[in-house]
Amino acid sequence: MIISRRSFLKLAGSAAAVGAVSGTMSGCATSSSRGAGGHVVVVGGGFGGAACAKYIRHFDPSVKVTLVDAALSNYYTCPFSNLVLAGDMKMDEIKVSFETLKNKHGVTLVEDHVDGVDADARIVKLKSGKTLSYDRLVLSPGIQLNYEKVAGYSKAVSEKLPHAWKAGAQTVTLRKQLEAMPDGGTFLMVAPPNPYRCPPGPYERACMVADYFKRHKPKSKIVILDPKDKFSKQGLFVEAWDTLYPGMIDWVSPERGGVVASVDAASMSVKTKDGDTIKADVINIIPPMQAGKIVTASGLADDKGWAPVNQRSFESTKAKNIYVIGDSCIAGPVPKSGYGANSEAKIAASAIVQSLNDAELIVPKWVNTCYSYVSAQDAISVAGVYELNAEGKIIEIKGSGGVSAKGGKNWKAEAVYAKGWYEGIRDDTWG
Amino acid sequence: MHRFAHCTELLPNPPSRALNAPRSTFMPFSLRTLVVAAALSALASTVGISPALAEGASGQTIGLTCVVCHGAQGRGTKGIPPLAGRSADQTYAALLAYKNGSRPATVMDRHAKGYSDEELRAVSEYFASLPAK
Ligand SMILES: Cc1cc2nc3c(=O)[nH]c(=O)nc-3n(C[C@H](O)[C@H](O)[C@H](O)COP(=O)(O)OP(=O)(O)OC[C@H]3O[C@@H](n4cnc5c(N)ncnc54)[C@H](O)[C@@H]3O)c2cc1C
Repeated sequence: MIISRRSFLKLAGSAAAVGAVSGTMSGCATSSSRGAGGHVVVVGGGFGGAACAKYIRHFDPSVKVTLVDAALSNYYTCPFSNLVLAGDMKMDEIKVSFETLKNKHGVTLVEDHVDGVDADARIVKLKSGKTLSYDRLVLSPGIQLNYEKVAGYSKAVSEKLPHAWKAGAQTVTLRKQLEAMPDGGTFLMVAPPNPYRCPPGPYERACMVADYFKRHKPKSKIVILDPKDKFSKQGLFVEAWDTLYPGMIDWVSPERGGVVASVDAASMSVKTKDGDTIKADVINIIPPMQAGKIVTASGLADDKGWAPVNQRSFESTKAKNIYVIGDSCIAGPVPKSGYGANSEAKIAASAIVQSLNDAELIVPKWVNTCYSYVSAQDAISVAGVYELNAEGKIIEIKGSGGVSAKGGKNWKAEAVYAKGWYEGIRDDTWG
Repeated sequence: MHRFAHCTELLPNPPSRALNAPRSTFMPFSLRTLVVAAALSALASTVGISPALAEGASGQTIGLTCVVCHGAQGRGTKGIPPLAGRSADQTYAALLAYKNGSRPATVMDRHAKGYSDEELRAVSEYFASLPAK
């Protein structure tokens, strides 16, 4: 049988339509209510895990899905948390409810911490002492922060010098510190080295803190100490800083002495490798990071601390039947973003359903768009479309993607689209 | 070959059926769609075409990345237009115009350039098959 390219696409298109007509395919064993079944345990209910749980149920309702997250009753999205820092949004507005996943999509929810994985026995061990057995396991635990890589920093010190890189209590702490800071004070941020969650995030944060200062504490200063020579959307961020907050933000590259040697919480100061000591009123340390602890502790990470996965299915290259998605995995050029995690989740969900049904994998495609606010009413973006190349590597498609046009003419429109994106991804992931 | 290959025989269902189908609260595709599409790509590979490189992604695979901004089932979000139920020709023409730069855009030009014309057509048909809001 020969299938032309044209008719293949046509057939693939009508295949989508076939799925809509329930009960008309009596001769076919693939009725959605009669799939192969099986049990998938998903660890982490964030952007990756929640989307994966929902889409597995959607692709094959015969599969039982259990979503385990230690923070089911207090998951806050990192996206838009920088607007909370600026006082433009409230914590309530970035909180997520898991009720729809349970009530509408039939996902079983377990609020517990996963302490360990036994890949041979296909069991996860929970903090409560319970165990869950699985046919396929999805790990989307986000990141773990390597506090100890910054001399003088620790989890305990982070209560005073917050990272606020996992939205939640520390977002509130940092907001309170900014509110309490006197006009004319200094906000010091230590940016992380690559790779890390949300490449434009630190610079969006600088913008939003500047926006708050401009309105309430115009004499204040922002210093960013950076171990990187360049950063995401740099041209656009610098343009926004110069236009909206002239003279307020000092980005210190490694060449100018941006590499940090140590921090001292007692004297509220940071020492650079060049020997300078910088005092500040509010210090935000975003330390180096790696894959979530459950990934590293289960031996699923490489020597740099991130999980290598088959780029077509997101199955770990180190253990069978375990899929790692979201910030924890290595997905080539797809950034560690909520959008990226959502995109990976759907490819993994279809791969898992296909593996449970002994079917072939679909042709994947990934998308990312990261909007960053440069003020409460203005935003910029970076986008990318990705595919698998002949060697099985994810590559960004030539000519696609890139950053917003310079000149700021789309700032207002992109701020509107950023809100639309947020509404859309929340609905698609947890709705 | 896997055991669902025979399902392809049932494919020539008119796509218009989807529009008349009961309004689903979710996107109208299922495991069937996936395995049928997989069966097709398997067929494509047996005749020497590499599905990944030659055929591109299906309308559904692409469409599932669009809904992040354009809303669940392509129903639109605040400030971002819906795609569901729009004529495939209209969506396709818009996407081609974004791709060749003739239609002004903030971000859609950057997205459209990531797809072959066939993929743009496929995703346009996918959204046309979903119920309008
Ligand atoms: C300031 C900031 C702004 C951002 N802005 C954007 C943006 O505008 N757009 C964008 O696309 N992305 C943005 N991001 C990035 C985005 O938040 C992450 O990429 C995304 O959350 C990754 O999803 P994930 O599923 O990998 O992890 P997460 O969303 O972090 O979810 C992980 C979950 O796993 C749970 N968990 C971990 N380990 C265990 C365990 N052992 N047992 C039980 N539960 C566990 C955690 O409780 C958590 O709920 C931003 C990030 C930051 C910090």
